[in-house]
Parts: sequence; structure tokens; C-alpha cells
Amino acid sequence: MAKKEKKEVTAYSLDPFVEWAHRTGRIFMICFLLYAIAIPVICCIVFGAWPKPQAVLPGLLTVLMMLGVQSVLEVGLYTPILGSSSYLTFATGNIMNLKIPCVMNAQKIAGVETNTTAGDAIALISTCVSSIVTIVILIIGMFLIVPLRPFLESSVASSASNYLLAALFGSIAVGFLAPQRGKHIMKNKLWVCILPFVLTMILAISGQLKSSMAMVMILVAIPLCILTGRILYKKGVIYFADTTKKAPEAAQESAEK
Amino acid sequence: MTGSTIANSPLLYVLVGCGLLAIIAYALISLRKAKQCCLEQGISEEKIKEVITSTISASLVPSLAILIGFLILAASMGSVWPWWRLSVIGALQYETMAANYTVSSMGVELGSLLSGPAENYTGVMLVMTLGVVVGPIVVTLFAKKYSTGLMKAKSTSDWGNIAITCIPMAVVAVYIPLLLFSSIPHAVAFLASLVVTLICAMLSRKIRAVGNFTIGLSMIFGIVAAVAVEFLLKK
Repeated sequence: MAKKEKKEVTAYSLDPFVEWAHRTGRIFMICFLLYAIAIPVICCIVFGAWPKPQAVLPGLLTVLMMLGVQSVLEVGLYTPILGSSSYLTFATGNIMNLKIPCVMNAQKIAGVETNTTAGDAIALISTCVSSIVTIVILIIGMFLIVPLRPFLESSVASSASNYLLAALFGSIAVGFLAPQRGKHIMKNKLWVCILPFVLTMILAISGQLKSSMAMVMILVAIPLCILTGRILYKKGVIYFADTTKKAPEAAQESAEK
Repeated sequence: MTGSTIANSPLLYVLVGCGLLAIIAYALISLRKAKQCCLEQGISEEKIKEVITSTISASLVPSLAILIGFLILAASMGSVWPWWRLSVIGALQYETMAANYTVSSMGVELGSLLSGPAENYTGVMLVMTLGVVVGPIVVTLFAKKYSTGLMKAKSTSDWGNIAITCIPMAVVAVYIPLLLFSSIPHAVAFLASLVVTLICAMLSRKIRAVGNFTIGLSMIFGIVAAVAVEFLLKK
């Protein structure tokens, strides 16, 4: 009886939307994976063009070794931001160069936080819209391939794509640096970034860190941010504040919680 | 039979078309459901429209970059398969890498895929597909537990909330200095985009619609400024 009561107290009930999003997301992902694999298999069967295993396996193993670990890391890093929109995001790809910036921007606009029901819903809206836009642009590209080719293959277009991520983050940075809005906000949260920011800056200036190594650096940055956050939270520098109350009062309340 | 027979076959068009339609259908259903949830959570219809418009504007420029990738791949693989790969899962770097590793293990050139035996083409299709299954499998198995675990931690304590907020903050803390200090044109792209965003934010107080196109506009200005600086530096 006591055990049952304890279970009831600690039980965390998911919002029906979040439950729905995960359930349908998983079903979608399983169907998508099977269908994606079925396309080349159907072509092999219909055209009687099965490749020799010894010709394919070395390439496959190399790709799996190179991308397997990276894929697991991506799930670990980006799922906290994407929530239940992870399924569609991982199915439609272009995660860091498109989906994550879009989701972060959408959550800022809506004034919602990650890992909340509203944050999950906004992330899903953003991922759906962004996926549809990419698919539509590629469909248009398919039809306009001939007239577009000279422009898209030009050196200007090629070098422009190198600066995409820098321009995206330039815009997103404003949202992170701007004062937070809302009733219940985390005060001084930018301080958690200071150590990884300085460390990345030093490594980037000294030329020891390239864009391709960003994920490794993020893996270092997360524990650094959490550790800094823990220390600053204990010292009362970072706290949650009800903006309707005065700062010391809110800090004390947060520490008590 | 050559790779071109498969690359331009009506069968591949139908398979890819059906797959993309299914993804669009799922995205539309999810969009509707998520919108309902937002309304229930007290997010206004106007705010949702703002989120959608802003996401469209933020997706346009990166999608054009994906289109460039599509053209690069289309030259060696025909247009249908790259159309599928870059609409789903793929990113240009990965797709090109997977195709290159496979053709080199077969002892052929990427450029000869369309004119070479059909087996080479299907071999590349298989490797490009099977090489990325790890991520989707891990998401299917663990995303729910992981994500809802974080939700629970966030809702039960302030410290849990702070710890989880640290993850997106870490992404920003790494990418900002990395992009800002990697080269002069990168820094120009970042700063120009930041300045245009601030200008748009100020303008949007008077003209609300400007706010919806902030990211798109700032990206275009940022990229144009970076390309101009790159051109001047080369001179």
C-alpha cells in the first residue's frame, strides 16, 4: 500500500500532446526507416542489379564507423533542444545547419522554454514547417534545374554557402543576449557560457579548433556549463525570479526551492 | 544496363515521390496537432503565425544551400536520388562522403556512376541509406525516455531546469566564438547578421511584419557582406 502511494506521488504524467507526438513519431520513424531501406532494395530486385557484397561492405563499414558515433552524439546533444520533434528532424536531416537554429529561434519568438509542453509543440511546428520548405525548394529546384544551374554552380553561390552558419548564428545570438521576457525567468543565465566561450575563443584564435570539430567542443562545453551553473546556482548568482517581485526576495525563494 | 537506367527510371520517381508525400503528410498532421496544443497552452494564434513565418524565412536561405548540394550530387548521380537524399536525412557533406567511400571500395570513379554498371549505382544507394540508420534507430529507441526524463527533471526542481538549460547554452557558447574567430569573412557574416537583426527588431516595433522576416533578411545581408569581404581580401 505504502509502495503504491509512493508511486502515485512520484508519477509524472505526460501531457497528452507530448505522449501523442512521441508515439506517432516512433511509428513514423519505423515506417520511414523501412521505406528508406526499401527504395534501393526494390531497385535491386526490379532491375536485377544486386551489388557484390565484397564491393559494398568496405564502404558501408567505413561510413558506419565514421558516422555511427557521431549520430549517437547528435541524438544526445540535440534531443534536449528538439524534444518530440527529434523524430521528424532526424528523418529529414540538415540538423545543425537548419533545424536547430529554426527551433531555437521559434522558441525565442514564442517565449517558451525547451523541455516543456509548449516548447515541444513550438519545436514541432518549426521542424514541420522547415522540413516542408526544404522539400518544396528541392521540388522547385528539380523543375528549374536547367535555368538555375549557372547561378547555383557559380563561385559566388559556392562561397556564399560557407557563411550560412555564421549568418544564422549572428541572428540567433541577439535572442540569447537580449533580456528575457516573461513572468518566471532564469536570472544571469548567460554566466554559464563564460568558460566554454573563452576556451573556444582561445582555441579558435590559435587555429587549433576548426568548425568540423564543433561537436567535440560541445561535448566539453556541456559539463563545463553545468558545473558553472551548479556553482553559480549554489552561490545564488543564477536563480529563478518572479519578475513581479524584487530580486533579493526572488533569489531567496529560488534557493529555498 | 547502366546506372543511368535506374537513376532516371519512372520507378525511382514514383518511390521517391511517394516517400516525400508521406513525409509532408506526417509533417502537416503534426503541425496541426502542435498548433492545437499551442493554443491550449495559451500561445496566441498571432504568435503561432509569427513562428511559422519566421521559420519559413529562416529556412529559405539554408534550403538554397541544400539546392546547391543537390546540383553537385545530381551531376554524378542523376537528379532523382539526390532529390530524395537531400530532402530526407542527408546533408551534403555526408552524402558526398558516403558516395565517395563506396565508389573507391568498388574501384570506380564517382563521375562514372551513371555510365557504369547498374550494380555500382545500387551499391552506392545501399551504402548511402544504410550508413545513416544509426541516428534514426537511436532516436526511435531512446528519444522518448530521454526527452520526457528531461521534462520531468525540469519541472521538479530549479536546479534540474538550470542544468537542462545549459545544453542549448553550450551549443551557442561554442558556435558563436568558433564562427566569429575562424576567419574575417565569417566574422563579418556573423556581425552583419547581428546588426541587421537589431535593426529589424527596432523596425518591427513600428512595422510588425518586419519581425517575421528578421532571420531571412539578416542572413542575406550577412552572407552578402561576407562574400564582398572575401572578394576584397582576395584582391
